[in-house]
Amino acid sequence: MIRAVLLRLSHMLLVLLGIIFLSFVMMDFAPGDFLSQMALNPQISPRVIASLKEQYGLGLPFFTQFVHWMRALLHGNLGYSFSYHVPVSDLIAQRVPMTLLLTVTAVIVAWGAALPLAVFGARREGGLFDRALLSFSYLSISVPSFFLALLGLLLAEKTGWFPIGGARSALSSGAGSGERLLDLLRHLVLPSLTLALGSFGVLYRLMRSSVLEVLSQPFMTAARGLGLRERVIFWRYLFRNAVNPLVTLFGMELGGLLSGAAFTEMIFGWPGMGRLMLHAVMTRDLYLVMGGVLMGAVLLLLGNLLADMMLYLLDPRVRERT
Amino acid sequence: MGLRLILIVFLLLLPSCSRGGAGGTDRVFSLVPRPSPLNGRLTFDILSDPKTFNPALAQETTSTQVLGYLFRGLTRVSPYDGQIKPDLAEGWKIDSSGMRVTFTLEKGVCWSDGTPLTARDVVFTFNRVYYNPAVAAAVRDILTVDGKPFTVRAIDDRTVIFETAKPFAPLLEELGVEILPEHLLSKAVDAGSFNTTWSVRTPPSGIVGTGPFRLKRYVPGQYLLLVKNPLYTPPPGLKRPIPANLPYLDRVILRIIPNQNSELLRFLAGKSDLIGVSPSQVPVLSDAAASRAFRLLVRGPSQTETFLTFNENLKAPIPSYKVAWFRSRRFRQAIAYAIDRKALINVIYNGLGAPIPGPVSPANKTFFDPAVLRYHHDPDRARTLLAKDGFVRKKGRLYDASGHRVTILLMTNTESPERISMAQMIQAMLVPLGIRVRVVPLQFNMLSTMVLSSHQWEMLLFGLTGTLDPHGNATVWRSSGFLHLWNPGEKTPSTPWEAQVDRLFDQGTGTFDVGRRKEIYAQWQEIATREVPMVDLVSPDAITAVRKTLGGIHPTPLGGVIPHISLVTQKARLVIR
Repeated sequence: MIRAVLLRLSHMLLVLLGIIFLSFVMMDFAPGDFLSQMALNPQISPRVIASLKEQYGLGLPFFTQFVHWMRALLHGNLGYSFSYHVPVSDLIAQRVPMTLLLTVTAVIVAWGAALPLAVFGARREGGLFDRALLSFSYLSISVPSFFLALLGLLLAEKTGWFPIGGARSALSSGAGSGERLLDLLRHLVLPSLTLALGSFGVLYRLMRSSVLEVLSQPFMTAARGLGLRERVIFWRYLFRNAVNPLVTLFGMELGGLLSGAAFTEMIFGWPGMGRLMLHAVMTRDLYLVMGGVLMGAVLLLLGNLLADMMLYLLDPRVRERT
Repeated sequence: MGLRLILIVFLLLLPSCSRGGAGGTDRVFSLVPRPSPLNGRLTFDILSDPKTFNPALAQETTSTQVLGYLFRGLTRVSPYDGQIKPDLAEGWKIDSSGMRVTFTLEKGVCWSDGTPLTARDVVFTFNRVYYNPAVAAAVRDILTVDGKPFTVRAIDDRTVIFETAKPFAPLLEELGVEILPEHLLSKAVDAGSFNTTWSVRTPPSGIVGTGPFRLKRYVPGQYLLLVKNPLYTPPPGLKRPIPANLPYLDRVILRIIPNQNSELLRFLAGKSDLIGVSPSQVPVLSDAAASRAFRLLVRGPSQTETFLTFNENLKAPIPSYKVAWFRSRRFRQAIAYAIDRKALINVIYNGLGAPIPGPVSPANKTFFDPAVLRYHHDPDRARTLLAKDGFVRKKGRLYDASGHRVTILLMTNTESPERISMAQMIQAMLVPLGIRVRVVPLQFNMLSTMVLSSHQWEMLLFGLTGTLDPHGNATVWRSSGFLHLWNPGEKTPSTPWEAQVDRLFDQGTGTFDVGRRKEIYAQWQEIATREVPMVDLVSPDAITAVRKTLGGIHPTPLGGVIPHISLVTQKARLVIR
């Protein structure tokens, strides 16, 4: 197991290097750079743009830029953002906790609701409850998240139960810490529900069909025939087998923790990574984009590793193969 | 665009549905007068985070908007008529040569940390910051004459002299750039760390200005809280309706809401006090105005305008016969006559816009020349002009004198859905002339490369930010200008009228008398509309929705609905039932 993990880690390093290099190449291939936006501004002359280009190091050959950045990266320095004039790591550190708060809550809600409900629904396949949930999950898959988010905002506006966007009331910082937490939670409800609803449908349908498949397996009949207790059948035979395909999905979901909430963040005005990165890509803020790509890639690779390790623990077939 | 509209309509339908239903949830807003209109709080939303709190480095509108509350310049522009008024300066004297302007600073102005403002700060701001090649200041260009910086020196604590290499009238407007405190920033300049000073990570108390407000708190991605600067000295000549210390407001809260739909909902729910409105949002908002206690203020044509221009560059890598069409005045005029601006306004801006006749917007009351040649929609006239130029129409197709079919590529940028629909409408409007247009939307960076570097374009639909002083158009209209789009960076003017425009721009910058300058720039506008190297099209109306609780609100052609932020009051409280 440990050897396998180490091997995987070394592969991951190579993949990561590939991702970084490719992203850098693509940023370079796309026409223009951070300063191009100024090119058609009548108040800024090409001379000033040229001098800024030199200051930002954008005039250097591609390979030199890449080597400079990599060297800084090895020293733990992600570079400076052109538009904010502050270290990229500062900006990312500012936004990551907020995004994680949102996405982790959503993941917990979605998985916590979808798995038990799917097991419950599958056991009473075709029942009213199952059919209702199935149609609901269809709806949740087909409604785009940004629309759901807008509906959420509308609900907030009509009822006044929830704040309309943002993550904090403007003047709440003066209040006690308990009140502040409550305020944050109130702001968290709608965006996290929106995100959770989006993945609920997929999870529910996957888990349900997986449970149905396991239920129809001969070993289930055998287990029942042996007179095992229902709890043992459930945990050792049904759940463990049914959750197997979802573990891989869980790994992917970990990878999306930082980047998967961009739409929701935009609409609810949640101060997270998605918004920061979208803006960085649009303004071609090179090192900020690279910092975001790096974080996203690391998380995706770690998520996959974690998923594989979980499969290893859950599935004897995988253990045998390695 | 379409989707946004559908969403807005959808949002608007909901309240009307619930109104009829039992226990309708639609809320009604009412106003309760506050005992004193002072010490109120103004809230509005901005679309993105400020990128820096350093005025010298600020490059995009969010940062400059925020910094406008915290810093001031020597002069300011009156939003009513565009006249230059004193701000930090008490006044100025222009000597007879026109090359030396002496400013006297207002008495008793202090930085928000209590240090007095002196002429040294002004000298520092220009000589050590804006003119410092190591500082990433994009405003450096507008602070030069023919590439030469102004000479700035202090005579005593309150007197600063600006000398220019030749008389330069736009100087006064351009000295509206923010003045910075030497006592706080000189160390950073010495250490070469100025470009990372006063960033968004700097603690708010460290940002010190002379503006009506101070930065109290900034929560990234969420909001900025500004509080009244108790040491603020208002500019001379500001009429205050209520005798009290300015600013009247206690706090300004700018919430960062990255999405226009959320912004609109927040305004409707009473969470913000004012919001910029696009023409497509007007039908929705005008229904809600009464019950939600706000007014819609239409301020007439905004400074955003769109124009059409042609590649007249003889060296451009496009067929030379096409360049020949574009270099013909009659051909350009024919295109100008073929475009139905009313239709553009009706379709693109819901009827809320105005045709723009020439290079100066009618919103610019000081310099707009009402006598310019106007191109009304007149396809017959367009046909006559083309016929005079040797073009012939066969079976509905137009051919030039040497038999080339007239087909044109029309480029615009993909980021603006409005421009794309406008390009498609223009395509249809040129069909009756027999001209075939193909619309090519390109990503902004790609487009700017093709227009400015490779010159591989034929016709372009675009917009540029206007400035109040016509001198701001010099980079576009001077034949040597780098944004002289139709034929960039000419060594010598390639047509007599371009030579004349060059002369007019020289005269215009060299004359301080406003009446005389008006005449000079009127001549330019007349040439511009006669020769139409750029066919100016339309501009949407600038519209703002303002909560009725606010006082000190006056729609102005140039400065939005707030003539001066320090005079805004909260007259009433909003009660939502």
